[in-house]
Amino acid sequence: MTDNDSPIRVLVAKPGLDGHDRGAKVVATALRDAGMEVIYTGLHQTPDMVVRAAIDEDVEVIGLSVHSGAHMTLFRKVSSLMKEQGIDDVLLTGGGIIPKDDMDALRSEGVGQLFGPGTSLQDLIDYIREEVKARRSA
Amino acid sequence: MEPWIEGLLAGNRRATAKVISAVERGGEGARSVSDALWSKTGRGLRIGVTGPPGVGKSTLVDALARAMASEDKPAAILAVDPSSAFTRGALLGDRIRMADSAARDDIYVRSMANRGRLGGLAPSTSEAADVLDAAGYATIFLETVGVGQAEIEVAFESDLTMVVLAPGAGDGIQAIKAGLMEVADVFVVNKCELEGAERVVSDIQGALELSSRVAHAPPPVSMTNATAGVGIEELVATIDRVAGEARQTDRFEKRRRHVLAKRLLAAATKVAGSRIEERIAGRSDVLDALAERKLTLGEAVEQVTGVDDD
Repeated sequence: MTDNDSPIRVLVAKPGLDGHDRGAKVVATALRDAGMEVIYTGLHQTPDMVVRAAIDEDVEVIGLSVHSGAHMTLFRKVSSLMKEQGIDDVLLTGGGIIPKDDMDALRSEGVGQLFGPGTSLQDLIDYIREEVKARRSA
Repeated sequence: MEPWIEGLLAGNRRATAKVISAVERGGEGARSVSDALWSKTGRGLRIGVTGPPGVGKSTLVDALARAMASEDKPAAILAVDPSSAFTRGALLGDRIRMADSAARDDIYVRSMANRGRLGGLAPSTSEAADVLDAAGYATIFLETVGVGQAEIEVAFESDLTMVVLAPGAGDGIQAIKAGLMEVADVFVVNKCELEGAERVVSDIQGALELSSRVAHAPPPVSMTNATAGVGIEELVATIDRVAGEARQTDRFEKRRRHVLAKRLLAAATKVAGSRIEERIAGRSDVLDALAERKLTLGEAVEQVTGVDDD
């Protein structure tokens, strides 16, 4: 298969102490149904574990699910580890209970678009596909 | 690919990951990786792990990897999960059960979707194992999908095959009828804390007595409770012993040669098949003659596989 045909590999993780994993499971399943290979690492991931998984699994997308309010800390920590370990070309996206202002702040720091409650799964799927397509042809 | 290959040989994890992705994609990229790394493969021990779903393969492999890995002899795990036949997508969830292994610097965990291939492994499992082998991983676990009982394919891609069973999972003796008896080098009855574990062990031993296995000693049967870490040290010792004994006789090398012959056949068949497909597409005259019964099928086959063709 060509580089462009190969399935998109996505890491879906729940960092921190947050135990609400239903959203992450719904997203993981939806991405699978959209033809992606989803590495679901489950609950209680530290930022180090997330970045380690992203490297070893060579994913093109990291999706963090955060409902605990700790999103600023977690997204920033993951983002800085990604830069440190040379994978800041990977798309960092995600969702959960995140106020729009915080989403904008993270966006301005280089994090991708984030998706709050009530977002359509199709929007997330389309976003990932577009971003990956752009990165693959760059 | 060159910078990534150099990085891999220098021990860079990200490079290793990128090279595995290249072999998964197949084509020219995979070929150039294989050409560059082939001379460095053959050092690592490939352990195939199979068995019915729900027996605890991932948990067991995680425990074994942690017990066997060290900085000098790092371990790697290739965990295969099924792709959807309809969407080509996959949910790769083995990694969840391997969190402890995944966090270690001397262990590498990679999830692979089987991309439609039946038999328990992914199309590029052997090639991915080659990459890890060349990168210096001393023990490489190949963990199969775990759907059904006919997953003996892993036996043809590994040096040592471990068949994992558990009380209450599969159909007891049914699970060991379907070819798994023949391919196992080591049996493991996991979840040994559950009732019925002893019976699974005696079922296996009984079936081994009845089967017509070849000369050398019957495969050992170990008992483990992978979540609690019970029986793991003993299992590691058993694996070392079985591998050691095989190496001392010529069985190990014979097995490897057999595996290589199968790989060569598969790869060559793929190439030949593509060429023939192209030929058929270019020879509508043969198809016409076949349809008009002017050529028999056998004659048509000779036409499209003829050695006098260019």
